[in-house]
Amino acid sequence: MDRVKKVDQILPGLFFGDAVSNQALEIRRRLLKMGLKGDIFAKKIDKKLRGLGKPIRNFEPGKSDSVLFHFCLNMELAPLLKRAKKKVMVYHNITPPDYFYPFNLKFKLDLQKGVKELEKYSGFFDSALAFSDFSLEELKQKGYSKVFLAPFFISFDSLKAEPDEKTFNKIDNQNKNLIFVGRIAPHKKQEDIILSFFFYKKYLNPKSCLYLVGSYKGNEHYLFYLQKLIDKLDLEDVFFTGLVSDSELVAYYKSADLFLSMSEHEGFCVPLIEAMLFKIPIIAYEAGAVPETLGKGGVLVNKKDFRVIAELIDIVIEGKQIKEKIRDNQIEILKNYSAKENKEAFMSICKDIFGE
Amino acid sequence: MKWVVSMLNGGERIEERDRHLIQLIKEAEKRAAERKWAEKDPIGSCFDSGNSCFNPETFKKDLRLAYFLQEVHPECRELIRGRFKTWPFTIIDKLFWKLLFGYLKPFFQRQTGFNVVSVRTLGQISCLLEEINSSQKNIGSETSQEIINEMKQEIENNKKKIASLEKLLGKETNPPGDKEDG
Repeated sequence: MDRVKKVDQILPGLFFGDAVSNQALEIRRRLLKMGLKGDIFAKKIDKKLRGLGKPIRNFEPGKSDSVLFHFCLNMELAPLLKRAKKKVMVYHNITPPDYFYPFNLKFKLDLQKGVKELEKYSGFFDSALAFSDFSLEELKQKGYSKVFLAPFFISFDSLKAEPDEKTFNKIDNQNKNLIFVGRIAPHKKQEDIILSFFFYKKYLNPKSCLYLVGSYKGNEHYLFYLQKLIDKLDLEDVFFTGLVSDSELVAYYKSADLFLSMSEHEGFCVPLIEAMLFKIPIIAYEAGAVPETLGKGGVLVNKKDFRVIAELIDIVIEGKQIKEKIRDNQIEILKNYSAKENKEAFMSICKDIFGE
Repeated sequence: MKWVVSMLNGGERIEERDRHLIQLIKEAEKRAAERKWAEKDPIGSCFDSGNSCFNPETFKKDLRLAYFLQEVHPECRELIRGRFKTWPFTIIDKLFWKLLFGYLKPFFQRQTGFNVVSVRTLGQISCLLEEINSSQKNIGSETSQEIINEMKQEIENNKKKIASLEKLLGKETNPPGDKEDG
């Protein structure tokens, strides 16, 4: 660790509520504790996060000892790293492009380009970090040889906020409330959540609501499709919240009786851990890194039979013992994210990466 | 450590201590098999028939109708692309959707009485016709090809409308950006 004094980070955008941005901020915090200074440079910076990041035009390649390059879409900014002593890619995974057809052709093309670039740049970086075995394996397949499984840093501080009163009062807690947190995007398969909820509400519990919490910016066509599906089903009590603040998110979590994920691609899936923090039983579809992240903290399904999933929702929500068992497991899982364990694992990786 | 179970198709890869959780799935399957689900459920056919326009997967594909013009009337797409080839892809996309929903949709709805979103690509129009027939909408003796021909004609007749829409969008949106057309 003697020779590296400064570790800068580059990412496409520093946005509020964005998992990649949160991870970059957490990494900087950990590096600072280890005595490694560094700035975050981004092409776009959210107004709310100004002061935490610098515009990419201010990045001076020669002045950085080491650079962590966050990859989630493309390598547009990667050439800036050419003169850095250590070039490390932080892989956040890339969504299979086909999910975005026909909803967002532009994004599909961007993803296609990104997938190709990921492979092309395999020899460019000195090493790469990933946050799940799922992502790690993908990197290996793309030709990355020096890869590390890094601890995923989750700051629970934002979830310690008081629930937003207005939101909390708006939610009927006499109902059984199902929740999914994640942007409205085709690979997250919100339509399958809606279909499962349809059967649950119609046949098992009319007093139930579904909250789909997350931004739909850029995926308006997909949102339109979901709304049409809801119309077609003549289904009530499905709510799209859009992007929410921390305190609003806490209000939704605190009102939730069950977290349901039908996502078919996740590089990690932070909301699963967040749901565990709020002791919410989870039912999730087995895909991407979901089985790793969920562990024993919920029920994993590997087939989308919506009628069976509806029954399962009912069994879990009504089953006191089941919920207790799941909660016990969740407590165990959350220990993996304790600051101490993560710190040690991260330091060990940093030694491997930056140490001479 | 992974906890992966094949819960809904027989239960493989089960850790002994989690066996009770597998019982949950079995219980759910049993209940689902015993429950009387309505035969004429609005989405009952989602799971039973590949031919239904309400099948969720095909429903998604229905959105390909957004690109219907490309198949039915490629010149229209080319017209837009040619005119705005230096524009960012998103604007082309926006224009296209405006065209579809602002102009084509009412026309199609007028012709068929059927929501345009439920229409699939060209080769599957017959499915739509079946659906319309079964819902006893009066569409006379039109075949899918006739509908398509009519739509083509309608577009031809309304190139002026398209041009004015282009103008309108030209006022609404910014001039060419720094991104190349995708």
